Amino acid sequence: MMRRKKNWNLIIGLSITGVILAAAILAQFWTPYSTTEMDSSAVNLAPCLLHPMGTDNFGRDVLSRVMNGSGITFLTAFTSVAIGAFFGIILGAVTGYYGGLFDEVVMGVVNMILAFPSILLALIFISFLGAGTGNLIAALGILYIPPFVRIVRSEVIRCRDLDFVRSAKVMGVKPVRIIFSHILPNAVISILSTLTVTFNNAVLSEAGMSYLGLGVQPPIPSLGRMLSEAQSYLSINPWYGLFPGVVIILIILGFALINEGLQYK
Amino acid sequence: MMKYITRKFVTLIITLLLISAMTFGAFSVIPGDASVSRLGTEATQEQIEALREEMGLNRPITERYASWVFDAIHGDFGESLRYSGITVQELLEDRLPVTVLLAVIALIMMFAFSVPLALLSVRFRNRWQDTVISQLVQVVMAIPSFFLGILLTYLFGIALHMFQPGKFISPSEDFWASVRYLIFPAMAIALPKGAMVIRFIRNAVLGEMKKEYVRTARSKGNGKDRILYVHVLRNALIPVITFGAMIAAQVLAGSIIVEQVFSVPGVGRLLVSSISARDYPVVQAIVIYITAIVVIMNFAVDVLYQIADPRVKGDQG
Repeated sequence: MMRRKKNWNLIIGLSITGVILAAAILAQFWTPYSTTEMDSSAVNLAPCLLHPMGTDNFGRDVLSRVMNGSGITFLTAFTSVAIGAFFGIILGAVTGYYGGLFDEVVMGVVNMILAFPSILLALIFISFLGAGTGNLIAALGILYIPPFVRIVRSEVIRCRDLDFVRSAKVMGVKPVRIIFSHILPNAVISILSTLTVTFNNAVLSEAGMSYLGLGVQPPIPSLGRMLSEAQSYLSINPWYGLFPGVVIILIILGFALINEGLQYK
Repeated sequence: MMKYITRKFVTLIITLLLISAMTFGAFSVIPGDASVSRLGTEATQEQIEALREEMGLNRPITERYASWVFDAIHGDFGESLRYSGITVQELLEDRLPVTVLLAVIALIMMFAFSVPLALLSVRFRNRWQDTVISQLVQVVMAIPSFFLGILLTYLFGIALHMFQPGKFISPSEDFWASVRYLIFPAMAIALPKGAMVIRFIRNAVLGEMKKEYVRTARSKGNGKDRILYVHVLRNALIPVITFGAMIAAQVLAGSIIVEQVFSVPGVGRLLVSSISARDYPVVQAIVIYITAIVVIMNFAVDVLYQIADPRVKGDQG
């Protein structure tokens, strides 16, 4: 190939994600208005110069709350995916490398969990644990172990009997080192791709659960919760129902495009 | 083949037992058991003991689980804690048909637009038609169904007055009025899932097109359309069936949230309100119902898969 076409998917995906992430981080230090301060003289405003996304039914600035809410969304998604990836990669490596009865039991459970839509299992977990951000992270974290187990396991099995692994074994390299420094580097792209896909699932689940009132609890702003509040004022102030949703779409689209870009060869 | 199906069936039963045991166990260790939530926190110790005796909560957990399974098989899931005197079964009887109707409408809608669009995309691959469809798919897939629901409520409900948000008519009252209302929530579920289906079918068919037999068929003088419709589609059907079961489960899960958006009194709404009210017998029954549907659907797919692709031998499963 003489000339490669630019990887537009990756570029656009990274820019969208970068902008939203930057706004979310900025919101930890500064927002245009306080996220909880109510202003009874500025209730249900349409977008204007002072409030670019308008205000909600309590007169709170929607832009400030959306910035802060996307931070919570990022945090929940990152933490739960990190938990899933950490345990999933270890379990996948061990089951793939050693096989045996342990492998069969783990894979049985993994396949069982993967057959269910994650929002459903998250609901079941939350019904034991109770609503709240911490519980949601824990529930999603557990649910995101299986996809990583599956992808890492298949990669380990593929490489297990290849020449470079065999020669490493003959040279007496320890299994842990074989798995982590010889086999796993081959799985980086598939792991990255699983990361983006699960991240998007986590964003969707957090938004959905918060919408149902079972995720992030008030007064902490959350995109999903804002949508459920906005729904009661839809005929008076449709803008309030628009912006939080558009931000959720952009977060998901950004990561989906990054994932597309990673597959690009 | 019979051996394969038997094995899958045993797995089905084990999965159901495992999930039910897990939910049963989890609900038993939650502080404040059923007797407390019925009597309230003011109740005396004697009252609680008496009710525990009456409800059988003082028996060992394995015994309670066994009798629960026995009753559940006979369709008896006990009484709701929130609405005293009403059995879980009665609560579900009203709501299950609504959810099933919603899911069916959503599935029909989804396939009605996704299959033709996917084939169009394949037929004109790498041309502008394909590019437009693929970009649209990418964006629509990113829309959460409940947000789409809010947009549809605004557009069709508030702006165009095509339905009255929140005024659901039960199917037993007026079936067609009910269907007319459910079209909008079904649309909210069908669009994002349909986008996933389009992408999946497109990739499955294009993957199939790269195979040797396609070139052979082409060199024998078969036309492009003939190869696509006669040879390729049949082979691409196999992964699509598997994916179809997953999507059907997702449509069911999607309806849980979308029912909330459109205030449709279905199983999803009952589940969410029961979780908030800690009405565990109801939650447990719904969990089991949904699990059963998902597991049975997967079982059906395994069997279909076996029929569609004779290469799948029993011992591989």
